[in-house]
This record gives sequence, C-alpha cells and structure tokens, in this order.
Amino acid sequence: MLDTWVVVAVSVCYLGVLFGIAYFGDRRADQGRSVISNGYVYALSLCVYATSWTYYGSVGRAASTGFGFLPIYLGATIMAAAWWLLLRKIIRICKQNRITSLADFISSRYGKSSLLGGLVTVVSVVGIVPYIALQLKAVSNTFTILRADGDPAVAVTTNPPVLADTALYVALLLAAFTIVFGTAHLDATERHEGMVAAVAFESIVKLVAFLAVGIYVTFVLFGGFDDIFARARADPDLVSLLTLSETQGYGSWLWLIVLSMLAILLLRGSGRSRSWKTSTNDTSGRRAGCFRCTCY
Amino acid sequence: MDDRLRSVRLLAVSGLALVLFNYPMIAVFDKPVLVAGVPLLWAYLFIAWALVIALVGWISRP
Repeated sequence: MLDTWVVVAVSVCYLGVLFGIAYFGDRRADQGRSVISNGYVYALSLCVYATSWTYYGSVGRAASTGFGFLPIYLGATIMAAAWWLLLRKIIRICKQNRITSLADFISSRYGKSSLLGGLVTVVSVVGIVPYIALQLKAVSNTFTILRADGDPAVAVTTNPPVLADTALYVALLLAAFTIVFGTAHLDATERHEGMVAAVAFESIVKLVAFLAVGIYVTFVLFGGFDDIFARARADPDLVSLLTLSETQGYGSWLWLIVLSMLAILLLRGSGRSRSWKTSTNDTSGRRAGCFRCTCY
Repeated sequence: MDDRLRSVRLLAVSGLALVLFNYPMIAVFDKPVLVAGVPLLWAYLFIAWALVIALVGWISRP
C-alpha cells in the first residue's frame, strides 16, 4: 500500500516534530516559563497510560469481548479520583527522601533494606521485558500492516528471521534515543518538561486521529450508532457482545478494574510528579512515547 | 475549598465510581435491550462515567 520509504520518512518527520516540541518545552522551563504547568497539559500527558500495544490490545478486546476493553479505562478513572490523596502522599515522601525509583521507594519504606530494593529491581526488570516486547511487536506490526500489499493478516502472522524483523531495528533505534536523550542527564530528580510537552502534543494527535476514525466508521461506513448496534444484534456471532454476562464474567471485569487501577498508578510515566522515575515508570513512559511516535 | 474536605469528597467519588462500575450495579443494566439504539449497559456505563468525571471536575475546581 505504502512504500517503505514513505512510512520511514513520515515517522522520522513526526519524531523530529516531537523532539522539537521537547526542546522547546525544556527551553521554556529553563527560562522559568513552563509550558506544562497547567491542568490541561497534565491531563493530556497522562495519555502515556495508553501504550502502543493498547491500539491492538484494546481493539482486540472490544472485538472479542465487546465490553471487555472498558474496565481498563474505568479503573484508571476510579484511581484518578483518589490521586489527590494518594499520589500527593507518594510525591511528598519521594521529595523528602530524594527517591527516584520504585525500588528505592519500597526499600525506604521498609527500613532501607538493600536486599528488598534489589528484589524490587529484579522483579521490575523481569516484569518490564515482556511488556516492552509487546510494544516492539505493536510497532513492527504497524509497520508491516502499513507496508503490506494485499492481505495484512498474512503479512503480520509470518514470522520473519531475526535480521529481517522490523522489531530489531526499532529496538536498536529506541535504545539509541534512550541513550542520547534519556540517560544523558545525570540528575535523576530533574523535571522532564520537554518530554511531558511532547507526550501532551502526541495525545492531541491521537485524540484527533481517534475521533476522525470513530466519526468515519460510525457515520460514513455505518449509519450512526443505532445502525451499528441494530446490525450487531441481527448477527448471531456478534449479539453476545452486547451484554457482559455472556462474554465475560463479572469477576474478571472486577479484576481488570483493579489491575488498571494499579497500572495507572505505576505507569503514570513522566507526568508532573516525575519524582517517581523507575524502570517501570518513567523509562516505560518515555519508551512508550517513543514507540508511539514511530507508530504514527 | 478546605483541603481536607476536598480529599474526603474525592475519595468518596472514587468509592462511588468503584460501586457504579462493578457488580452488582452493572448486572442490573446488563440486559439485551437497546436504549435509543444503544445497548442498555453501554448507555449506563458511559453516563455513569461522565457523571464521575463531572463530579471530580466539580470538586477539584479552583
């Protein structure tokens, strides 16, 4: 459909714009005229919650379980209401003790045990690897789908050899970006204002893209919401998606809500409360940001 | 608004959301009927969701 060079060129341009915004945000922060210190930018930056895999995972859940995609966002909303109390407390503790990672946070809560801190680090790394693998897969799948002539399903399911796999090159590229832009700063308590500004800008792009697709599918491909649901009801394969009890139990619904409540707390990424920068948080937020850059 | 009062109210909204978005509340609306062309549970969840967001916005207004 699209030539490889077009996809690569658009990705590079988009990344360039994002880095421009990040640079601008950092400069404004240096001048003391922060661009991110308002509620709207903060709200938009929370979008790091949705990683690149979300675009496949969430849509997949909606296709296979109907309501199944919703608890991920409902849980986040429940937690957001409790932030005022919970998150502020965490940030205060982190600031007082100059804590920058989840491992430090937990070990400091339990008598500065270095063994516990090490354990948390190992668990974080073990946990984050498959998570990162999923993000890479999402990016390389997107690349393959955009490039694929004919049936995209065939193109995606084929398992390319390591050197021909886009995911490898995406991983190398992201590692390079992380080294240059992420770990170059030694001060771990520094605010990543530029990064937050770039994430917020991305969120606007995503919001516009999602709304455009939503409006197009609902009102152009179909004749409005009632048409979609009327046709889904008429289809024996889809009718079960319209009620929750038939596709998934209320139990798994509850667990997904609990899981997403914890996820939004831990994956907040590089929000204003950057004090909690861990292998699970800021890095993943930043990486997820980069991942998603390449997606568009 | 007093900081403590705001904290308590936000926590209460969080609890309200937890109740609204879970069993047994969702089971009440989980019926195979359409309301204004939309399944009942869809309509319920999105209205409840909007209500929770509006409440949080109202409580945390400056």
